[in-house]
Amino acid sequence: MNAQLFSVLDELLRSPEAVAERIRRREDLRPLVVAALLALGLGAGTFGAVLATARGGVQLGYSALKLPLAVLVTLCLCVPAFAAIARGLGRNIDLGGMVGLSLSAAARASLVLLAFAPAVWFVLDRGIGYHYSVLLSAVCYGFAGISALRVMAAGLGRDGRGLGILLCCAAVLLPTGAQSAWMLRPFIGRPAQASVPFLRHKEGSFADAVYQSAFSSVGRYRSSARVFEEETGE
Amino acid sequence: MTLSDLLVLYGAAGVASSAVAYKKSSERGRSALVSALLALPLWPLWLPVVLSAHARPITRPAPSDTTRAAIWEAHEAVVGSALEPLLPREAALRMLQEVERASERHRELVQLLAQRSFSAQAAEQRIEQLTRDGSSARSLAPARLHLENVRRLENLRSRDEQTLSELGELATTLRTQLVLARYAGSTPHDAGDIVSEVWARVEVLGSTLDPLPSIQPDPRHASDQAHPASG
Repeated sequence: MNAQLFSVLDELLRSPEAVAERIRRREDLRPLVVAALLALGLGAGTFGAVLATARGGVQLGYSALKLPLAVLVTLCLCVPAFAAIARGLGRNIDLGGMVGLSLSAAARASLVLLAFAPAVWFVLDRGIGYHYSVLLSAVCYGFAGISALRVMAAGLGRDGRGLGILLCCAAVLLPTGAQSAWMLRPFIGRPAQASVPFLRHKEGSFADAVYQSAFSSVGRYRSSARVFEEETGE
Repeated sequence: MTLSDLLVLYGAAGVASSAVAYKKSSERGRSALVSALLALPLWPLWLPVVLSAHARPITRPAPSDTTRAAIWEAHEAVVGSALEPLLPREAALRMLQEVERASERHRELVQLLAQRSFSAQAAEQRIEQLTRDGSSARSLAPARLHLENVRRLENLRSRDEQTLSELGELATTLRTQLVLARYAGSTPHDAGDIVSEVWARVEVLGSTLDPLPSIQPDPRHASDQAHPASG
C-alpha cells in the first residue's frame, strides 16, 4: 500500500501525462484519489502552518487546517461544473475522471507549495512584515497553480478544445476559489491582533475586498465597516 | 436557507453517501471502512470515484486497447529496474499516444469508406458511365481525381490496419520478454531489437502516405484539361 502510495505521489510530480493516461484508460482511480488527498493535506497543510509562523500560537493549527479545507471546498463546488464543461465541449471524461484529474492537479500544486515551505519559513523568520508575507504567499500560489495546470492540460488535451475547456474551468475556479479562501481567512494573521479567530466576521465578499483595495491603492482608505454602512445605509 | 441548514443537508448527504460507499466496496473490512469514512465529509469528490469504479464495464478491449495495455504493462515491468532505459515512461507514453491516434484514424477511415460516396467501385462505375456518354476530359478529370483520392484513403486504411496488427503482436512479445527478464533477473538480448521494431511501426503510423502515381489524362483530351482561364 505504502509503495503504491509513493509511486502515485512520484507520478504526480514527475509525470502528469501518466496520471492523465490512468484517467483516459478509466482505471480504478481510488488509489490515485487517496494519494492526492494525502498530498493535499500534507502539502497545503504544511504551507498553511508555515504562513502562520509570523503570528504563531493557535494560528499555526488553524492555517494548517484551513488551507487544505479551502482547496477541498473549492473542488467540491467546482468539479461538477468542470465535468459538465468538458462533456459539453466534447471531451469524453466522466465525473469520476474529472474528480481524479482535478484532485491530482490540486495535489501537485500542494506538493509544490510543500517544496516552497522551507524557503518561505526562512523569509518570514527574517521578519518581512504582513503585507510582503501576503505577496510572497500569492507568488507561491501562482507557481503552484502553474504546475497544476500541466496536469489539467495533460488530461483535457493540448489542442484548441482542451484550451477552451481549461479557460472555462478557470472562469469557474478563480472566483469560487477566491471566495472560499476569503471566507476561511485569516491564514497569516495580523501580528497586531490580540486574539486569533478561526474565522473572521463576514465583511462583504472577495469582490468587495478587491473594490476596497482598489481605493486603498490610490491612497483613499475606507474601513470595511464604513463601506458596509455606505452600501447598506445602516 | 441558513448556513446551518446547509450544513445539516450536507451532513445528511454525507451519511447516505457513506452507506453507499460501504455497500459498493468489493471487500469488507478496513478498506470498506476507509471508503465510508472518506465519503462522510468528502462525498462530492469521493462518491463519483467509487461509483465510476464500480460501474466500469468489464468488456473485452478493442485490439488497439490490447496493444496499448501491452505497451503499458511492458513499461511497468521495467520500472525501477536496470531495464528501464529500454522503455522509459516518456517513450511508453509517446507510443500510447501514437497508437491511440492511429486507431482513431483507422476507425474513422473504416466508417468513411463504408459510405457509398467513398466507394472506389462506385467511383469507377461513374467514370465508365461518363466515358460511355462521351464526356470530355474536363468532365472526367474530377471523377478521376475522386477515384484517386478514394484509392489513397483505402491504401491508408490498409496500411494502418497492417501496422496496428503487427504492432499488437510486437507489443505482446515485448511485454512477455520484459516480464520474463524481470522475473528471471536476466538481460533480454532480444528486447532491444523488439523495442526498435515497435518504434519503427510507431514511426510508420505517424508518417504520411506516399502519393500514388497520378492517373494519366487521356491524351486525346489533353487540350481540354488546360485551366479554364487560359483559353
